[in-house]
Amino acid sequence: MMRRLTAVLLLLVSTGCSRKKTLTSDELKSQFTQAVSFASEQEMFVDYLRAGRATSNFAEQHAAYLDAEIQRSADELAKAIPASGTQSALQLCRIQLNQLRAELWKVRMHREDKNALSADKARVEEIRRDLEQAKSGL
Amino acid sequence: MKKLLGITLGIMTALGGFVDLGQIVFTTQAGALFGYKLMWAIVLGTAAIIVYMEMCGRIAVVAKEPVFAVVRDRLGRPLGLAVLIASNLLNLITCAAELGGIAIVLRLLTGWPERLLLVMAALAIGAAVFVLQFQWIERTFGLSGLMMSIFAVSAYVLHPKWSELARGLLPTASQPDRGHTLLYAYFAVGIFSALLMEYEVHFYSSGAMEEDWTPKDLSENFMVAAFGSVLGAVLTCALLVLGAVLFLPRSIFPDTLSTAIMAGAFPFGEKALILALLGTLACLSGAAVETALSGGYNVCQFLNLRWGKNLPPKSAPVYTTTWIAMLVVAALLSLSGLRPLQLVNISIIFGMVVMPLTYYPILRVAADKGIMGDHANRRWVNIIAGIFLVLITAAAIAAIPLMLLTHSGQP
Repeated sequence: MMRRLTAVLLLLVSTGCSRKKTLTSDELKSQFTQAVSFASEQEMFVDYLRAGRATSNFAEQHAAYLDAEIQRSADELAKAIPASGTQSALQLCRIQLNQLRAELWKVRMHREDKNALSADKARVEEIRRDLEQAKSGL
Repeated sequence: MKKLLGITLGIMTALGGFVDLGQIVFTTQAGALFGYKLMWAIVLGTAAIIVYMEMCGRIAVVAKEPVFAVVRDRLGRPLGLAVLIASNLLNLITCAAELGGIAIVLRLLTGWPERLLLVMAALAIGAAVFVLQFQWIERTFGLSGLMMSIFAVSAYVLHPKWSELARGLLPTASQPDRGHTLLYAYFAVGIFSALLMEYEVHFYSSGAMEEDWTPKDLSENFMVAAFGSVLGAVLTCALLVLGAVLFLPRSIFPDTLSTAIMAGAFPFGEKALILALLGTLACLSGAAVETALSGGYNVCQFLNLRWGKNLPPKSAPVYTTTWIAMLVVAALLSLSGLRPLQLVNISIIFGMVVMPLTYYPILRVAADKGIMGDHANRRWVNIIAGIFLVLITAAAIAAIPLMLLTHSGQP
């Protein structure tokens, strides 16, 4: 009896947690705002690294925290159902967030290499511009 | 020298209360969204906490009553008990958030695993509080928190717009749309609440009794409350300025503690970053100690049991057990995977809801000539404190609806 009850509870919890939520246009806009913020923050972080102001531990761990935040946001989008007419925008936001994560990984690799960091920053800037453009079209 | 060191109670109370995890991230976010437009909320909150902190110190000295005995006597046992439970739950949540924040800072310093660091930090704080006398607790955490001054230096070096900053001393009525108006109100309430967290007055009044203040110390009481609070307010303003100067122009909404710390040392090199990390560590540790000890003070003062950090633990067993339990449960809560910033958002907003029930009895007793005699509030103090109480009540009513309408301040 107790096992059955636990199983039912677990099922309820898991279905409750994994339930997909429809994202309104305003909520999608908010997700884009957040994605633009992540990109800008990444650019600022690259500048900070290029100026040689971060300790190696800080650089590594701050990048890990940023990555976790971007991942959380991407996961939220992965669970969301787009409102009609916003499918492509939602997809784009997800793709760009994953791109940002990939760039952040490169930044972690290049933290001592100023030239490579400059190239990384240029790519992040491009992602940010794409996000801003998509957001303005919503 | 003794008088100078006496100020450390005010410094620790204010730094642990003002510049805790919630305030660091919350205020930086407010600056990133609204520039200097919420400066007035910091000034208002600082004035309110100085007025009420001074009253608490005075009541502790004259009436020999700490805050929770006042709450129990004025509100009656049933409502007093509800306030006790709510306050200690908030202390617990805040303590858990601060421990989580400490683990983050230690990870940024060392690169070690966060959970291991959290356990080590809880043990180290517990051991330090157990071993040290009250005066040395406040000196250690209060003075080491002064390393946070690097945030103020950074804010100054980044050339804030002073004229805009001055304009921010008055509330701005017009926002571009309804969403921004709600967000503005949410951050105003949040900043105000974070400056007035209940544990500050619980800790301050208990500290005044721990230090055996007498009526002769009353002249210092205002100075201690004001100096510590103004220092905390300067650092809070610096956080707002950093948000306005560094994040607003770049459209960044800082969502992590590490981003706020980076801002605190942004114009300088590695040494400044380490100083910012250590300063943050000291302030978060101070806040963790304040909340854990406040838990012990509240329970014993409500139940009229012996309490005091300077008593041998065996003489105050409930007090000692309670603060240790607060620290242990908070560490477990933090280890459970709840995000520190989520926890701190809850504590700031729900703290606001309970606030009128903490501050109202304090005003009543401080104004009561039968209890306070010649040291009762003057008329103008009653008027000012009454206005602040109205504002606190209004913010308490608005806090939860604003949290729901803004999705906890998401832009």
